[in-house]
This record gives sequence, C-alpha cells and structure tokens, in this order.
Amino acid sequence: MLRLIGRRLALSIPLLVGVTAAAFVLVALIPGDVAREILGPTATRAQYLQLRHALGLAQPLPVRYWHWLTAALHGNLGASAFSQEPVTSLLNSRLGVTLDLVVLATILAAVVGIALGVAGALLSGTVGRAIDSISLLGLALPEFVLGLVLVALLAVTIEIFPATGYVPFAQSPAEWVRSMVLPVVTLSVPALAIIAKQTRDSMRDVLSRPFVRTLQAAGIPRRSILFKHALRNAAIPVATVIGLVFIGVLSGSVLVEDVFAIPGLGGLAVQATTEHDVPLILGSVVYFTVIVVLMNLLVDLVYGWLDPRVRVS
Amino acid sequence: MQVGMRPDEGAVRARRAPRLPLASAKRFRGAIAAAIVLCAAIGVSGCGGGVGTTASSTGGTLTIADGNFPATFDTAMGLNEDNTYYAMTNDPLIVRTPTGKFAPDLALSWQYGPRNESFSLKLRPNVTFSDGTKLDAEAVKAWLEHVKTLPGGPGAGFLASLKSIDVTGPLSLTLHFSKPTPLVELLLSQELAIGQPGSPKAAKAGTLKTNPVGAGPYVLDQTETVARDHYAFVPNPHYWNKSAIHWKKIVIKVIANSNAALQALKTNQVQVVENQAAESIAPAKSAGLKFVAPTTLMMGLQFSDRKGELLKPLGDVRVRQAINYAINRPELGKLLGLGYGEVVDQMAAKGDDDFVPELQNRYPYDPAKAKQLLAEAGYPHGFSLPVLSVALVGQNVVAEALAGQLAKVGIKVEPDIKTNTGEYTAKVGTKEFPAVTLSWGRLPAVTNYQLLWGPKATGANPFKTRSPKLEHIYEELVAAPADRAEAIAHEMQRFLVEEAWFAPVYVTPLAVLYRPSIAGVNATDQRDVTFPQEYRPAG
Repeated sequence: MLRLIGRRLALSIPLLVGVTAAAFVLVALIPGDVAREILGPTATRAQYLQLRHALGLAQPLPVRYWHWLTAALHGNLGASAFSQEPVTSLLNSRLGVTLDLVVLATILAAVVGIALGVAGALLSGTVGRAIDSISLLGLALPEFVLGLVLVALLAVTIEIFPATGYVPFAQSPAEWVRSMVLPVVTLSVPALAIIAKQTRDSMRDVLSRPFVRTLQAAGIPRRSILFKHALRNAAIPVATVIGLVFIGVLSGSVLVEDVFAIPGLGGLAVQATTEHDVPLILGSVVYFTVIVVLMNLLVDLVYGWLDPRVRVS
Repeated sequence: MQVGMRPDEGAVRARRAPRLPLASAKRFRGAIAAAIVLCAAIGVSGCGGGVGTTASSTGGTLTIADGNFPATFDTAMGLNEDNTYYAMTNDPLIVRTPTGKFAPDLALSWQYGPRNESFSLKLRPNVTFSDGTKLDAEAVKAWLEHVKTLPGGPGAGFLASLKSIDVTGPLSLTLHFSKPTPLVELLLSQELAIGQPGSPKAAKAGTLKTNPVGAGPYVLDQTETVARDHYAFVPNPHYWNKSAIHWKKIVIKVIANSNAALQALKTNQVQVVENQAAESIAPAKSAGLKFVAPTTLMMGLQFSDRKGELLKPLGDVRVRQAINYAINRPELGKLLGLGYGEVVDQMAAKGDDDFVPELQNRYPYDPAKAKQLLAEAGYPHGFSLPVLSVALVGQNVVAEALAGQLAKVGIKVEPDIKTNTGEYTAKVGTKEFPAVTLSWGRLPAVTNYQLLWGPKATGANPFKTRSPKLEHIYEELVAAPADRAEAIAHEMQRFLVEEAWFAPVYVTPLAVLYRPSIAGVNATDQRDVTFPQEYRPAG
C-alpha cells in the first residue's frame, strides 16, 4: 500500500509539470495580456509597454515558464500579475470553501445515490421506474438552472436559506450549514443521478449471481446478504464512479460558485483566466491537479479495502 | 467558463435482480422526520442573519455588491471602475456633485491662471491621512508626482503637460502646465481616481496597492476582508468630517453574476448593487426595489478610415452621412436599452458640455436619403464594410443590427466580432479595419478629443485623421475661460456631426439598484456615476 501511495505521488510531479506547461501555452495563445486588462483600451502604447515590462511580460515564454517552474518547485507560486497578491494565499483562502462544497456534494450524492440505487435494484414495478426517472431527471437538469430555481424558491420566495455567500464554519456553524445547503444540493443532484444508476445496475448484477442464492439457502439474514455481501461487491464500480463524479463536481463547482457568489477556487480560476493572470492560472491548475491526483489515490485505496485481491496484487 | 463536466457513466449492465423486500419503511420515515427537524432547526436558528443586515436609521452595516474587485488600491493608477472602493478610503481634492458642478473637499478653493496654464489650490487645514500623515501642500505635490511617474499609470498622459508644482504656502500650491490645461477640476475630482490622494509615505513604501491609506471616511479592515470576495471598511478615526460617516461598517461584496446580485438585494443580503445592465431594472422594480439609471455608456460606429486609405468609400463625407441616415437608432435603442437610455446622433449625451440640443435627430432614419447620398458619391450599389466589434456591453448587438439595417441601402457589413476583449483592444488601434464599433464613457469634449478623435488620440483614430479646423477649435477650447468653453465645445460637436466622423447610436444606462432603506444614491445626466460616500440610511 505504501508503495502504491509513493508511486502515485511520484508520478504526480511530471503530471503537474506537463499540465502547467500545457496551461501556460494555452494562455499564451489567447490574444491580449494582463497589462492590457489592467489598463483598458484607452491606455497609450507607452503606458502599455511600460506596464508589460514592469510585470515581466516582455521576456520570452520559455524563460517566463522556467522562472515560474523553478520557483514553484521551491513552494513559491509567485504573485498575481493583476493584483500582486501572493498566489498561494489567494488560493489557500479559497481552497477550504471549494473543498467544503465539493466534498459535501459528493458525500450527499454518494449517500442518496447509493440508497436510491439499492432501492431501485430491489424494487421493480412503478417504484423502481420512478427511481429511474428521478435519476434521469437529475442528469438532464443543468446545474445552473437547478441552482437558480432553488434560489428563487427557497431563498427569495420562502426565505429559508441565503441566496448568496458563504459563512465560514468557525464564524457560525449554523450559518455555515445554511449557506451550504442550496449550492451543495445543486451540485449533488446530477452526481447522485449517476451514482444511483451505477449502483442499481451493479446491485442487480451482483444479486443475480449464484453466491447470493447460496447465502440465502444457508439462512444468512437478508440484511446481511444485502449490505455485507452484495453491496460490498457492487461497490467496486460504484467507487470508480464516485471518483469520477467528484472530479465532475469539482469542475461543476465553477458554475455553482458563480451562481451563489461563493468565494471558491473555481471563481478565482475564472477571474484569473479573464484577466490573463498567468501565475494565478498556473497556481489554480496546480491546486486542481493535486486535488484530482489525491482523489484518484483515495479511490485506489478504497478499492484495496473493498477487494482483497487488489491489495494482494 | 465551461459547464461542469459529467463523468462518463460507464454503467455496468445487469441482469434483472431477484426481488428482495426492502427493510421496513419505519426507518425511512424516521430518517425523513429527522431531516425535517434538522431543516426546521437550521431555518429557525438562521432567520434574520446573513452577510448584510438591514440598514437602520443609525447606520449599522451597509453591504454593497460590485462585480469588480480592485486590481489595486493605489488611486494613482486611475482605474475608475474601482471607484466604489476608492470612495470609501480616499476623499478627492475636489468633489463633483450630482449637479455636475465642482465643490470643495480636501481643497477649499482653486483658480486657473491666464490661458489655463496654471492652477492654484488652497487646501483644507487639519486634515490627515489615515496613517496620521498630514495632508498639506508638500503631501499633495508628492502625490501628484507619484501619479505622474507611476509605471503604467495614466498620469503620464493626464499630467503630460504638468511642468512643475510650486508650494506657495503650507496649504497652498500652484500647478504649472506647458500648455493650456482646462478641466483640472475633473482631474482632481473623484471621476478619474487620480484626484483622490493617498498618503505619500505609503506611496513611497509601495504599500498602497494592497493597503489603501487615504483621507477618506473609512479605512480597510484587513482582518475582515477576504481578497476578491468581500472588503470590509470601518470608520477612519482621523477623518476630518465625522458627520459624513453614515455607517458603522461598510462591506463591498464582489458578486460578478448579475442574477446572484439581484437575489442578494431582494433578500437584503446587500442593500446596493452597482453597475447593472438595463436588463436588471425591470425585475428590480417588480420586487419593489429602487434604482437610478444614468446614461453612462455611449455606443456607436467609428469610421476609422476617414481618408479612404483602406476603404475608399469612407473617404467621402456623403458616404459617412449616408450610413448615419441608414441607421434606425430607435430600433437599435430598444435592443440596447430596453426602454432606458437615449438615442444620440452626436458624440455627447444630455448633460455633457458639448451636447447640442439642436443636433438631436440631425440624422433621422431615412434609407431613401442614404441611397441618394451613396449614389451621388458614386456608390449606387453600395459596398462591403468590414467592421471590428467585440462581444461586450452590447457592441456585438450594434454590429449585427447594423448589418441588417445597412443591407437595405446596399452596404454589406462584415462584422468581425471578437469574443476576447484583449484581441479587440489590440486591434482597435491598428489600421486593420476601416470601421469599428466603440463604447465609451461620457467625458468632456477636451478629454474625448484627447482619447477618441484628436490626431494623437490614445483610444482610437488609428489612421491619425487630422483636420486643421478641428485642431484650431481644440486649441481655442483648452485655453478658453469657463464662460466661453461650452460654446466652443458645441462648435467641435457640430464639426464632428457634419463631417460624420462617427455614427453614434445610443447611450445606454448603467443602473444602480438599491433598497428603499437607502438614500443618497445620486446619479444624474450631469454626473452619471454615484459617489458611494453619499449613501446613507433613508429617513
């Protein structure tokens, strides 16, 4: 297990270099630069060139990337070209918010999705079809539409939850919960639809296997067959899907953070891209990549726990 | 930004499962009951909370939503789209009032010298910056020098003719210019930001970027601020005008999404929302909210190639006038302003110093007249007109609408609409396109000449079109005393309209929405932006 973890973490370094280099090149291809964004269209060419020079934009691309990379490998992600704030502190101030949102949405999607999936596998007829339909609806509904509807109903018309904003847990646990409900539900609905579908299909497959009949014949209690044996076997592909869903929820958080005006990483990445703020873009890429790498590692560890054969191999 | 991705389902297809009874529904009902109780508890405990509390008559916390966050708190950069923030911490030397007139603030009085080649100021006594530094003549001199020399700042342009600054007393100074420079009051007001001085001590230390130190009513509370999300301001204990402090705290919340901002306003999470497009007005009104919608952003077409170098037809004034006649401005206005704003066919709006009432409707929609002029100029069958545009603030709407309207007189508009503003900005100053759509803020004639149509215009006129007559008018305007300036500015406007250097179309509003509990949200034709220092509890 430790070897697995070590190998994954070691592989993440060249991955980070590759991803950041690609992001750097892609941003360089977009017309315009941060100096123009700061000054606007009425600046003189002299002002523009002066600011470009002051921001180090006049250097060749490979030189700029090399400077960034060598600093990043020493833990220094530089300063925002737009506002000169340290990139690390900007990202760190937002990381917790996005993780709150994404982790809660994934947990909610997993719990509800697995429950719906199990119910869908066990119940045939109208109830089973209804659960299928709910899953499809959740998949079909765009997140931002759902978000807007939830705000209109539950924040503006019936003022149960706030329409926008985020309250840190340390400031007020109750307000934190209130501020998280609508965005977490918005993010989790499409995700739970996917998990429900996968769970249902996996459960039906496992429940049809001979070993389940053997367990029934041996007089093992139904609850034990269902949760200790069948679900555990069905969980392996579901774990994969939850890992993928987490990544989807992470990228979906960009829109949701915008709709709910939540100060997360996604919103910051959007701002950085709009402003051609290369250090902040690259810093965001690093953070997102690390989160995805860690999530993939976690999925592998869960595999190992669920399936002893994976541990041995 | 992209819509959130959906992971590939990859669902494993399963054979039909044998039926197993679901565990009793009791547990399920119990879980639902627990959820209801939890939600109720959260709802009850959370009632009445939120980021912004109701503004009381004693002025508790005011929360303002703004789509921008400040790139810098150094007002010497002149980024006046951040004026909501600057207003909190930096008083201007001279304040522009809602009537458009200039009134004392940090400066008590001022006057121009002969031919506007000097400008003398007397400062208010006993004023300090929030770091305790005295605001005196030396401090203002240091500030203006900082503005002029800041790399990448506008001071090099705005103060290009500033030759020297004489400190004539502890609280008096005189600015000397190498050529006539009118409108110094505008430069030193809150309109262009550079007139809102910061502490020279902080400017020298280079800390103004992230920590504003002005002589304004509030100071930034760094402990309660989260950069790019919300900025908290508390009263400045050194402020010279304590009665102008209306709030115990002001929070400016960055909300880029207009719908989110409106929802926050409806639910009283915020009490004022700045810089909203016309689309926001109707839903705000129907929710019982108030608004001001000053006409702020002018839109139109610039004929960059007035000499016909790139596109010969544009070199003929009859062609440019024909295009003006072929534009149905009221129809375009409905698309751009949704019932707010005004049609214009001159480069000024009501309330501007160069607005000429008699020129309104100089070019009524008249396709027959347009065709006649085109025929007279030798283009009875029209021609192709490439137009650079950008998907920003409705410029693309102008370009696309013009394509339809001008087609009726035989002119085939070929809009090249950039989605990236950086690309548009880079190209608008080049000779690549004979015409471009433009949007520009309302400024005095002198400033517009410098920015838009003078031979050295920084924002436009890539083909460097010159006119001795126009340049003579400008030279007269900059040297004119205040009582003659307007008449000369009108003369400049008449020239532009008759020569049809542009085809202005509409002036759109930027609305400020606010709750009825707020007063002081003032914007007018004469001063088309609010000054957030004026916001106070209503009643």
